[in-house]
Amino acid sequence: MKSIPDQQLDAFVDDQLSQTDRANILDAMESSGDARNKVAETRRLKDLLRLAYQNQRPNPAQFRFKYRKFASHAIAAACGALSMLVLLEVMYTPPPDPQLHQQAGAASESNLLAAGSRQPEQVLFHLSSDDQRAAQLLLDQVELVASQYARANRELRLIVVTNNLGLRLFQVGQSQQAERIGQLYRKYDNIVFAACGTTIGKQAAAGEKVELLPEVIVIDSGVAELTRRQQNGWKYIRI
Amino acid sequence: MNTKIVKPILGQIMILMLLLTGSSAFADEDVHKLVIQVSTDDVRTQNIAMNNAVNLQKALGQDNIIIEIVAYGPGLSMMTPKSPASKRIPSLAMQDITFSACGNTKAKMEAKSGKKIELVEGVQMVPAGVLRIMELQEQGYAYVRP
Repeated sequence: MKSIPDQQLDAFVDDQLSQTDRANILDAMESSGDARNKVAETRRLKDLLRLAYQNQRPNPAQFRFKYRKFASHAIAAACGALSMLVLLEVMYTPPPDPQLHQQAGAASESNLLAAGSRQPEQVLFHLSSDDQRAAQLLLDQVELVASQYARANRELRLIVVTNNLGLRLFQVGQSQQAERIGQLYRKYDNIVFAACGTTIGKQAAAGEKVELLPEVIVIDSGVAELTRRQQNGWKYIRI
Repeated sequence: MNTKIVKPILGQIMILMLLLTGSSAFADEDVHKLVIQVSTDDVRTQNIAMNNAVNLQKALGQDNIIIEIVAYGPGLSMMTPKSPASKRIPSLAMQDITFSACGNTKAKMEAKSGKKIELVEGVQMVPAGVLRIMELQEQGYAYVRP
């Protein structure tokens, strides 16, 4: 199979190819892990670049050009609404109790879970090693956080991202925690298990057949996802 | 939407927002905040965590950085007399480095071994290490895991 020229790869990722060229590349991707890998890698680079240049702006890539005008209004409106919230919060939030920290040992709840907390909590967990104790610790912590938020009736979004050797945790026949992942998945509908597409591409290119647990979704790139979400205010725990 | 009327109002609100965020950013401009996670019983890593803290204090000045070391899972050993790394903790705690031990891990380990776990002097206990780290990140702490 001939390899995809870089220029075409860029155009493909930017969605600017003609239909025939596009179909050719899709064919190549279907038959070759190397091609898939290249596309994923290009996407990842683009993502990182976009991040670097468009610091802080909420996901501008999602807005198509023809909606740009509408989008700028929408963003302005969102900023306005946000500032109102900030203002309200500044005016109505009582000052934090300075003794809380000292008494943390005695308190049974974390400050985070205090009633009246505002936004849904968003947290990323990241595993990149195939250390079995780390895998166990990861799922322990995920379960702890999920159960605490459920008990406090606080809204939570939690994503477990694995890449490199961490991917093994999500692979059929490799994972020693498959059953537990299934249990967590069924018990909590706010936990997402996401595998890094770049890692999968690399493994496939090396000739390994990658079969993922049914609870797992695939994302383009673990690192890009972690970076992007942290910039949007997600918390991050690496195990 | 009547943009002619709405736009200036939005503009004002945005300026107000900028002022608000600007002023709060200005208030703690010089003070850095850092949370260091220890989740392994590897003594070398535990020592590196403390070295990181000490070096940063030296580089930035003790008053310019707030540092908290949070231990959970196998990392909890760092804050018990069991780990040789724990010897440094009492003096570092007096030097304004905060040490937080995961109460959840401690309770689990105590239930498993049937023995009470001692924490060294200078360590505070938090309900759960991971929640503490999330809480500190919410307060603007940078996160480092050696």
